[in-house]
Amino acid sequence: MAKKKTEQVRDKALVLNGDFGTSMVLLAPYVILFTLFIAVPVCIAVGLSFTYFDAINTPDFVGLDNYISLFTQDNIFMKYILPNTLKYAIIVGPGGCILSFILAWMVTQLPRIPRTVLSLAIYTPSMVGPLMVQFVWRTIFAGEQRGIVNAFLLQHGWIDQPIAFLMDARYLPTIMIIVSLWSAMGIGFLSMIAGILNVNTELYEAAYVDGIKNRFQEVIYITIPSMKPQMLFGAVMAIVNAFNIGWIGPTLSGMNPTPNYSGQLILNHIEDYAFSRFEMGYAAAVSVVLLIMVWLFSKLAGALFTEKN
Amino acid sequence: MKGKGIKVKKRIVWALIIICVLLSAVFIYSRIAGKKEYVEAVSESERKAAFELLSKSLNIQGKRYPEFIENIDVPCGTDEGNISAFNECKLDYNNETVISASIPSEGLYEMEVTYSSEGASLTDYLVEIYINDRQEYEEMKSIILPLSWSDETKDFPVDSYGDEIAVAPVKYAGLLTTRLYNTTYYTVDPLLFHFEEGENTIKIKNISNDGLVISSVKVLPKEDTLIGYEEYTAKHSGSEINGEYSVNAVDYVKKNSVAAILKSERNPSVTPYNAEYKKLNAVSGADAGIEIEYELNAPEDGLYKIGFHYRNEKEDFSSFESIRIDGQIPFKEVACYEVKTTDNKWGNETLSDENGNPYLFYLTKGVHSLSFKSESEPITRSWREGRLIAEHVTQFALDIKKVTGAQADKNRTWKMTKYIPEIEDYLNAYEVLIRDIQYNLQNYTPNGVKSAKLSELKRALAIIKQLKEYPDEIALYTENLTGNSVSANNSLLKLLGDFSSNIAKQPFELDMIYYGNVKMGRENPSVFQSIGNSLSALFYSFTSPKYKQDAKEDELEIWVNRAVTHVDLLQKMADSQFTPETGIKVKISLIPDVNKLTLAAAANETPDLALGLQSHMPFDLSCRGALYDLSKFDDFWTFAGDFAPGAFIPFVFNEGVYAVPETSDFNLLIYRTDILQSIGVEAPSTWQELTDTLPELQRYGMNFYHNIATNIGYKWFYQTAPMIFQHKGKLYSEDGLDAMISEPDSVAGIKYLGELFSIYSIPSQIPQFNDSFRYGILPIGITNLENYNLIKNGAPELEGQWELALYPGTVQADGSIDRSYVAAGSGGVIFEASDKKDEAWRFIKWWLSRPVQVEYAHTIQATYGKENIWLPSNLAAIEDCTLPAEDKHLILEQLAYLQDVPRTPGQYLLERALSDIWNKIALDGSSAQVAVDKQIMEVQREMRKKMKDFGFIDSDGNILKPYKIHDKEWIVEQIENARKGE
Repeated sequence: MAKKKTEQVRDKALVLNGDFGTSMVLLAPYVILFTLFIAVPVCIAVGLSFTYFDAINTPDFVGLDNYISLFTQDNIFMKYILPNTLKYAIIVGPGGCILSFILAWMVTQLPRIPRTVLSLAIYTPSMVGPLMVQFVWRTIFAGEQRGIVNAFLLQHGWIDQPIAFLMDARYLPTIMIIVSLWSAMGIGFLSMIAGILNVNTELYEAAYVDGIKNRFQEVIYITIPSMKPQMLFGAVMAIVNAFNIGWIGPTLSGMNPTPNYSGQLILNHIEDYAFSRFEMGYAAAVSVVLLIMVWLFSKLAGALFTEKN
Repeated sequence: MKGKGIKVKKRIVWALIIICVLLSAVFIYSRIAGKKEYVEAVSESERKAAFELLSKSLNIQGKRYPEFIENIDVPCGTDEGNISAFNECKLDYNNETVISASIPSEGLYEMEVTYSSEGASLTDYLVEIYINDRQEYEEMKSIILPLSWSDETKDFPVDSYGDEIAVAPVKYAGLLTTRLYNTTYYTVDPLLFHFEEGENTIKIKNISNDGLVISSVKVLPKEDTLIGYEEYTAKHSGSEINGEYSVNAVDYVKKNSVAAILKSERNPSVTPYNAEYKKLNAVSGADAGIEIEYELNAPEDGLYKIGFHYRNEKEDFSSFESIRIDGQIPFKEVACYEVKTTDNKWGNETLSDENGNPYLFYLTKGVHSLSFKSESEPITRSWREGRLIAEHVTQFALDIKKVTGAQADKNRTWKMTKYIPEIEDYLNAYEVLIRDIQYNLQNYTPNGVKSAKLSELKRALAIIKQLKEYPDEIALYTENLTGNSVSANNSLLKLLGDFSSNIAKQPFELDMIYYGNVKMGRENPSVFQSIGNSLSALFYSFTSPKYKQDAKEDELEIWVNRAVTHVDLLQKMADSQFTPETGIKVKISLIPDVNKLTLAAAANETPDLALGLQSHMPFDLSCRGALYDLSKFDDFWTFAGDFAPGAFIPFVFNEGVYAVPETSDFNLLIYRTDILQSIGVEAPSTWQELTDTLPELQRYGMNFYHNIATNIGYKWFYQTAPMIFQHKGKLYSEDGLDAMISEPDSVAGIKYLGELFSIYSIPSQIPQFNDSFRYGILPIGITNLENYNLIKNGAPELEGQWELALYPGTVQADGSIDRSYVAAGSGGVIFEASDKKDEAWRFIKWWLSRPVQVEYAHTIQATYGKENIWLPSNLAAIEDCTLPAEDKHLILEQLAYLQDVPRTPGQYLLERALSDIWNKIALDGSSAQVAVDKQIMEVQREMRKKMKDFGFIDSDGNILKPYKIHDKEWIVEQIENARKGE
């Protein structure tokens, strides 16, 4: 007994001065920041989603009304937002992921200096963001004779009136996808390069001994299986990005909402409700739906890329 | 391992060598490229022939003063003309007076006018002069009668931060006498007018807004030519003065323009200077004709040198100043004295000849006046030639398009010289004139024709050389003549246009004047001084109260959503006028983002007042109860009578009015007179007339700009609604519960607006109208204040080539024309939570009163340049603001048609629906009725939903409390009632 007591005392002392104290101190910055800037806002958002809140007066509790009208009455959400977002996320998410991998693989085949230069060049668009899109892509697709694409088409006689690419509901979504893919080579792309470079070269040699015939088989049998963690990271980043990108449509067309809701994604819908219609509660409900969607798709990616055992 | 180390070292050495080689290559290249280059003169006969060819072939003949003087074969008169019986007369806007003068012999005479200003005018007077009912040159349409200004005190007051404030200049109220010049002051000598022998009539017409009193007019012979310096020294002898004397530039006694402004330079070499507080320490002006006068106190008779510390910011090009002593230029070397460029630095200059020997000025003991006047004579000829080419090239490209149509067929063999035989002559003439310009200007730049200001000319010559190789195929290269596309970045029109506008400025900033034995300080601060200065500025930025936002308890707190310059000026004006008058202290701070107001309202941290809000903000805030209803103030409606009734519409919510308009905006038609005239098209007054002229325009590849065709996909009410109003359609039902856009009248308007694009193919997306207007691609369009400003000040080479007209209207059943338009300026609001509402209301009334708005408009322009146009909402203040009188009258006429869209809680969805409907019709070509029907359901539902949210109806649609849409008629009625009640 006595021995046990001294042990307990020692344990207590350890908790206070030793491991436990240290781990608390080390954890504190993260816990505090996470709580303050992520956990609390998310909880408030969830809370607000059950209210009617006009941004100025005190919120009124309305129960599940916001969710009910989102799924039963919000025509725009059902008719444009959901299909647009899913289409966009499916093409830009996995598409961007695959493209990142292909480009990363191609880049890694180069010697060091051109590789660094090229990967920096490919990575740049994801850093420059809206400003660059505004200048580069709006000039390229400008809807007048002097827009680059229009000038090209006019010169070759393929059209005889300039097309308003960025305002016409028929073209805007396609252009959004092109621009998104252009700027999709972000952090996921870098991690893929790291992953490919990290694959043990002895594996390739061994594989050739075992009878692999070409580079394609090399990629399929060696490279991809050896870099599953990076693939997972790249995929999750791509999907989260695809759902959370809201600025491309409004940046291209000039303002939120986009003409005839053609480029409207879920994030634009949230902004629309929050800052044009001043219905913060409803906007919060849509954000909660977005959160759930992102979580589900990340789970899906996890299921695809994590090792089963 | 060792081998690897050597390899790395080798690599580093190689890299270093490559970098060195590259650097030296860049260095050598820049030396070679930067080498000076000068060109040969063109013979006078060649130049004259070229000039004549181009000016004669222009469709629009307008003779300018330089040609008039060059071509007229009449001697200068020698005796004064005799003015018979002229009584003092007062001229209002557009009034004229006729004077008869008997002239001893036919000849060229100068004229002198004595006049005084009536009323509060802050701008110089402009008059038109006709001699014998003729204007022999264009400049007679813009004769300037400058005002004279002085400062009330040179002990400048300080604002609440301790910075010195420029006091408003005081206008000289007595009689002024001036020889006549035109607004651009072409020559050092006054303009010459051609009089016949015997009786002549002189007609003077006042084209400025304020009353002008003409006291006397004289016709005088040309003044004697100036003597040279040698003759001057022979005339005056004396001993050189050894004492050192100086005058600070801010201590001028008078100036002839408010465009000469006091500045506070943050530069230790400029006196006086203080690192903590701003001192007014320099005077600056940028236009020819600005004259600033000083007093020199000469302690004894003798010969004085004169020097000054100055800055000429004109890149790579000199400015010119005439020096007058006691109102006379002492000798011809100091008429148009060349003041070399200093770029961004400062320089010292002692008036001296080319070899650096200082000129000696003879002064008797006592007070003398010394004045600096900016001149443009040395560049007049070149400027004129540049403009002629730009005008001609515009017409030339049109003539080519008359033959080829808008798009020249690339696959055809063109023989353009068959249709326009003069092609080669024109190109040669351009080349001759450009070379003449180069020759005339090359000595005013540090690097000859390679200098920045002249580089456009070199590029223009290169283009002409290319064009001359294939004159027959010129049809395919009209882009090189007038284009502005990405591919033809350098068209002749663009290059010459840029050149003429670059060269016309005469920037000159003065710090100190020295006389006697000139001993000047440092031109520029030393490196250590500069560093010390930046450090102390950084240090003071921590302690200065300027960057704090909180107001004290007894201060009226005002948030302004405008540029920081506006905030500074408003604070200064409030400190110097409002606070002493009322005892109410004011703290004005900047809010860069208006959304902060919503958040502030949510947190109950609102200021007392907010100014500069876009027209949608007051409604968004008021319908959520954050704003105070201004119509509760007793005198609100009397006060509202000073404004355009239509401007209040967006600020009305149910029975209340929650903001007052501060600024106005307009929509007017703007068109290129030169282009329309040469293709024989009149400026349209209605949309019907416009669609009739469109085919003719489009034949030349030109088109019309409607202000819906911006670069932004979303279309606001101001773009979509006017056409509905003009078709007598309505947007809402009276009770605000239903949208009325599916009614036949509204659909007719929507349909017409869409068809302008789908059937008449006017362009649907134009990022920069002012640019397309400048290069004649869209020679006609709808302009607002912003584009008007860009065209007026950004394209000075177009001056006189465009005009404004009323916004196109729709003909009504009774034959009248409805020109309704929607354009809102910014507004000011008082917050519900404020405990100083009465003080805030007093501030608003002070701020929007006529004298304050007029002073503000002039000060902001005088301080920050003429691009800063402030268009007040107070109608009486518009009459006195800084725009040309003719434009102001059009703006006032158009403001009567202002009709903003009433707001309801669900209106944003209606706005959005109209935007999408237009998109469907204009871009997809769908039918108007179908497009409207697709949207109307959604809009109706949203409007009802919002009405429910705001408690106007219950969920079954029963009305709980009435909502009323108040339109323009209601506001007019309220104002009328208030007037009657008075």
